[in-house]
Amino acid sequence: MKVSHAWLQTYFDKPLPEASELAELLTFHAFEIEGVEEAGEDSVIDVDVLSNRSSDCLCHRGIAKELAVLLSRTNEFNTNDPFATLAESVAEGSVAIRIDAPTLVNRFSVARVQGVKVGPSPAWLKTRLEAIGQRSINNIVDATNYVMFSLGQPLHAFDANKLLGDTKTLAVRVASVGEKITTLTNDVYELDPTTLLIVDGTDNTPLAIAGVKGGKHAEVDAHTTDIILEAANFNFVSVRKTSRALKLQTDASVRFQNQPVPELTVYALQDVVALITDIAGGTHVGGTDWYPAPRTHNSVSVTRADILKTLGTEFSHERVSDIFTRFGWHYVVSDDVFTVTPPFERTDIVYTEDLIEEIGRVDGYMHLPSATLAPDQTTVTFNSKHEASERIRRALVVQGFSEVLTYQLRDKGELMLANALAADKSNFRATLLLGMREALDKNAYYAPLLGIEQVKLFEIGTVWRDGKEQLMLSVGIHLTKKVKGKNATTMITEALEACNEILPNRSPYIPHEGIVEIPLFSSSENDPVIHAYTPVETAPPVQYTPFSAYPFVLRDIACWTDQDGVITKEDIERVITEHGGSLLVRVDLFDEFSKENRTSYAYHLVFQANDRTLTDTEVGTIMEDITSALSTRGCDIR
Amino acid sequence: MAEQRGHIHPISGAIAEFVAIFSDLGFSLADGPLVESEWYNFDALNVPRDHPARDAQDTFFVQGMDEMVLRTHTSPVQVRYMEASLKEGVAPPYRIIAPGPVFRNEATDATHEATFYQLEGLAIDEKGKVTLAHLKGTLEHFFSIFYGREITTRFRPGYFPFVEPGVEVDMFFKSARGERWMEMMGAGMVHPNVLKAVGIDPEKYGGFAFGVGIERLLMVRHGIDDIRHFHTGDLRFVNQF
Repeated sequence: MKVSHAWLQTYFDKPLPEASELAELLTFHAFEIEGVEEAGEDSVIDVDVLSNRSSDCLCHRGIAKELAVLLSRTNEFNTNDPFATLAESVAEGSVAIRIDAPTLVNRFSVARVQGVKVGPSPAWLKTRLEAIGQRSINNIVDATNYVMFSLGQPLHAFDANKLLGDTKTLAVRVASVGEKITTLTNDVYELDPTTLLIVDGTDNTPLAIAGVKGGKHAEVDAHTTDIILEAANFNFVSVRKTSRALKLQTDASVRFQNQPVPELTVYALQDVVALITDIAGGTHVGGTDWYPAPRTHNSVSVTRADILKTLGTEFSHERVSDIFTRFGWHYVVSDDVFTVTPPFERTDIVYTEDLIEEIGRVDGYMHLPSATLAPDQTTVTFNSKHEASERIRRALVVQGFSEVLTYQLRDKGELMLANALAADKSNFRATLLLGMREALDKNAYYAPLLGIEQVKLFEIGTVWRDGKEQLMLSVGIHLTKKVKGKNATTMITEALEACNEILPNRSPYIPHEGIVEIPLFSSSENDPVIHAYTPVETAPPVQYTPFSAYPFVLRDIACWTDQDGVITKEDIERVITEHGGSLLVRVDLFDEFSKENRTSYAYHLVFQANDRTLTDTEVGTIMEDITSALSTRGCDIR
Repeated sequence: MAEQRGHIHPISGAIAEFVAIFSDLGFSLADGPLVESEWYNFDALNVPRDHPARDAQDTFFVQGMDEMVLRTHTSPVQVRYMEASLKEGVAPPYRIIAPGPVFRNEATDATHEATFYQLEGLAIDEKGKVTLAHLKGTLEHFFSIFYGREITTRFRPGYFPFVEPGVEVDMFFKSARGERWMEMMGAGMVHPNVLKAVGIDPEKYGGFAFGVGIERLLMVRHGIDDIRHFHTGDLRFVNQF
């Protein structure tokens, strides 16, 4: 949410610190800051208000109040706080209200102002709104937006002359099936009974999608002189469902979804009426307030012992009192128990822990020490499945198998998702075999780049099969180069023989086309009781290198050394590497044989760029370079 | 070419490291199902129906199975473990870690995956024995061993329905690529409603919980550029570890 520094300043008499300093304070004591930008003479802070504070802090007053606490300028703030005074309500009348859906409305407050002159807003108001990315429409609409972004209470203005009847009536009801509304931006929505509407109580015409967006029918335009201002509190679930169903999210709907308190409506009306009569003229002639069930406010208690036991630091009586004073909260102390009555807008303060959080964060978590958990308080139970899985991993790794983790969500499976991301990820896998096949094929392609002749993989992962989750082991081999007398399936069988002790019940599971899948820890086995884990070898830190997404090119080269031993294998390799340059990513010796005192060495060369696909021409040029360099040194290229 | 040793997936390797580090601190390794009930995944964790916090974690729902989801975090294992312990007549102290896959219905890019791995941690004891200060100390100990260097952390205010106070944890990380504060995880003191849900008296007991992305921990340690590499089964990735 974008917050203007100049706007925040209106809540204080003396200058506020610069935006960057305010951002820092909020970051460490309240909310994350997305960024701070200059907007002309003003600065705009983008605040990421936490969801549990979105009922009171999606507005400038909320943020200003936070800053008042953090800067210890509460008294100054209080003299400017719009919640400080509530004027006597004007005589009832002028607008009638009828709530036909009382379960979806918590409060419905209206005020009528007659004799306004609709026109452009004063410069200061335009600047304020534009600073936070809002368009100026006209003085009436802008005033309602200004108060919404100030207090967090959405407001709407209706042209009273567009309502029928001698007594202007606003009614709230659910839409009927297929009922339509055209909004202020000329979009048409077809509705159903899950949508709450504000309608003309006389002829039932929809005037607004309650809590979301106003309709065109009673739009305030250049000719409007008589307005009805509405500030309400709607059921937050209903607003959210409507917003989702219509794919229509507005500043109003976002606020209603976060449950602003019903007390806000009359403060918002008070402010917007004052602002409108100031900038557009007119007289406040009356209003109505439907509020059948005012909330009760509970007090919350905390002791210093509670704080110590939760945060782990000692807070003196003064330190706690000081924080409550900075909040400006009413509290009493009795027998070391602080009982606080939170202000009406702080619906997030319900439990003792909520008070502890307020104390901790305002004081600052930078004061939190690091404590060590006491040793020997628990007996560690060793997880035999984990240990068994680790033994399987080690046994397979020793035999050259590498571990993969493939996607659990696939196109096929026995458990389907109701709201999958995509058709190819719509099921929880029923087997590891498909993922293993894909991994083998993909890695076979990269075998020259990896410098391997066989792709040997395994995976330990969960599948959903026969109505339940099961842990499976899959093992797969893909031979990129033929091996005499063996195929992938026989090689897997051999490898598993070597793991016999760790996979004792695998006989029913026969490798097929180079892959096998074996269930692990099925209920028929007894989990062995273990008393320790095999220690983990500490490996040296790995230096990871991002690999290229571009295709590689393969070339082979073979050459003889000389008889006199002047040219060695190392010389050959050095020449190849030097002349290959950075595009030569791999050199693998794949053949050597000797004849008459000379040895022939044959290499696979792999070329690849990080930023492009290499052409045959490019690679050809490098190969010529290598070849001529080797010839120069007296190597006999085969 | 000579027979080469294979490679363990870096996530498995990391989990083995977590187990070693936390076993030394008295934490046991716990686990739970990936296909989880809404009660364990949300309700017991103080995330009520229709609360905006429930939207923030976009969830995969199971077709044809009432109220079943793919777990969106490893936190349900906390609930299961505490419940099961009480059933067996075992009261706190509890200390567990629970690593494993979690699922989010969100678009993937270089830093986001629909499937990723989390490490959950939970420590519950008589009130006062496990505090926010102990969370700080425990995480600093863990980071320092995992990253092989002295690590300092800082807490900022955060919000998660299952903890109160809730914090965001940053660590200060120095490497060849520079040094800066990095946001690593969310954590906090277990909310009294979570303890109540499993039948533990929150007046008597309390403690901390944390949840951290395992890929994130590894991406920071090794300078890995794209989270999607962890699950593509690509040896160009795995064989570097």
